[in-house]
Amino acid sequence: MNYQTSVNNFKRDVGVLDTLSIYNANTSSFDLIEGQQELLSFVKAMNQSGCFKELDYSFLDLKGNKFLIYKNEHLILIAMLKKIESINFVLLTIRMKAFIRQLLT
Amino acid sequence: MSQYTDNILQNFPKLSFCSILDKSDDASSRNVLKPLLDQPALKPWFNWFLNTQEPLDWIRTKFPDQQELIVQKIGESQYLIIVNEVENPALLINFIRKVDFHSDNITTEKTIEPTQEMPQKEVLPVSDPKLQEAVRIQRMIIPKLEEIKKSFKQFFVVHQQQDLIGGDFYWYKTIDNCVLLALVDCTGHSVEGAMTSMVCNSLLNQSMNTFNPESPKEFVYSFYDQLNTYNAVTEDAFDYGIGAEIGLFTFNFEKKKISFTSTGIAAYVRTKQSIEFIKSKKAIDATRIHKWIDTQYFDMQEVTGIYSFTDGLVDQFDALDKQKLGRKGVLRMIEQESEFNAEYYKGEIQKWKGNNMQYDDITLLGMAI
Repeated sequence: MNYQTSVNNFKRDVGVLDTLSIYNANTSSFDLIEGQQELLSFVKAMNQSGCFKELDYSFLDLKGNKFLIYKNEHLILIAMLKKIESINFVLLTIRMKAFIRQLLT
Repeated sequence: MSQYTDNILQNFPKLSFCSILDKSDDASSRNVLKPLLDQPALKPWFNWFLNTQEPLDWIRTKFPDQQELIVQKIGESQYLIIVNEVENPALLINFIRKVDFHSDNITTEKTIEPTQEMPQKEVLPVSDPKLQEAVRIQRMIIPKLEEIKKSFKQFFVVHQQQDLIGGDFYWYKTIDNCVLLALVDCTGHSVEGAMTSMVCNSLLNQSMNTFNPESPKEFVYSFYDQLNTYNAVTEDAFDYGIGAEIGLFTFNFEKKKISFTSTGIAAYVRTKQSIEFIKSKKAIDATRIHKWIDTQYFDMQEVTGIYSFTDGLVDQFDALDKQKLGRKGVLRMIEQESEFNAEYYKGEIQKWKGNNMQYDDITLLGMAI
């Protein structure tokens, strides 16, 4: 499935995401990769370890690269944030969860 | 390094786990994490964490059961590991971010006392005439206390919005020999909660057409069907609409039967022998409500009292902003009172909250049968 248009629209709307990639836990591969693939190598390893089996959300700081991860069913959204100081995380969480539901329908 | 974890635990004693490990020593790390490695949600994270070469500085992972894992890099290969379920996460993170792990002196040493720096409630200015009008309009949906009291031996309500207007309200109707009493917690508080409450009140009134005393959940279905229709009207795909949790009691005085149908509102039911907590599943997705709501029935002759409350009460932090009241705290209040006196409950809530801010709208209903 081509998610790029939806992702572009969503990023434009929320404004705080640098990249937004989509990992498919069923196929163990990315349905969409934005930005540098090597920065997302941790996602596959996490999935193989079973980290996404029970997850609401996760915030990771990998040497200054800040990622927010959300999961719904088999889709995992990995958002790389532009800056975190001004982000309303509660609102972003609601929007991300609504967006991932939209991708599943 | 134990002085650092001791300091954190002294300030946040209800943490499930707090320790420091050295990732370069795998055997020692696994030993430190041993108490956590049998937990299905945590185990995969630690397996990944111990094996990964990623330059990790910080992890904060929240699990569906409210537990959260925090990992903070504090040295070349040293990490602070915290598992938390009940402590205030914002306060905890703020605290550990300020700890200087490289100092001989612990810098964030002082136990947190309620001070002027505590978060304060931001109240809308009551002098605004438009807001006064909004307050008046929202009060119109609140049923008259005298009317409700006619249906019960005793009745009280504590209805404390976080702001002048808010998203909690209660709703009351009678039909034949049946009394319907609903407690509703609309998404959001203040202005957005109040606007949602007006919509939900109208939808409840409209759902009266479908009310069947033999199947109260049909009434709740009808409410959510209308709510979903309302939400579907929007043309904005990113608009996530409005939502509400509802706890509906029906009192069938002819058949001496009480029903409780809930999508997230909690209740205690008191009988001559005991007080029972009535669990209810949270309505996370209103479009699939039919799948998991159910009605629980009680014999009216067995029940002596019912207490129902919104999340704002159990989630209210104490004066130190460290501990939530929780449902056990509500139970303690109920156990110590039998007169159904609203002033008692208002006083107890105030004692718990102290000078801390009120985080959410609070509503507590109680009735003697």
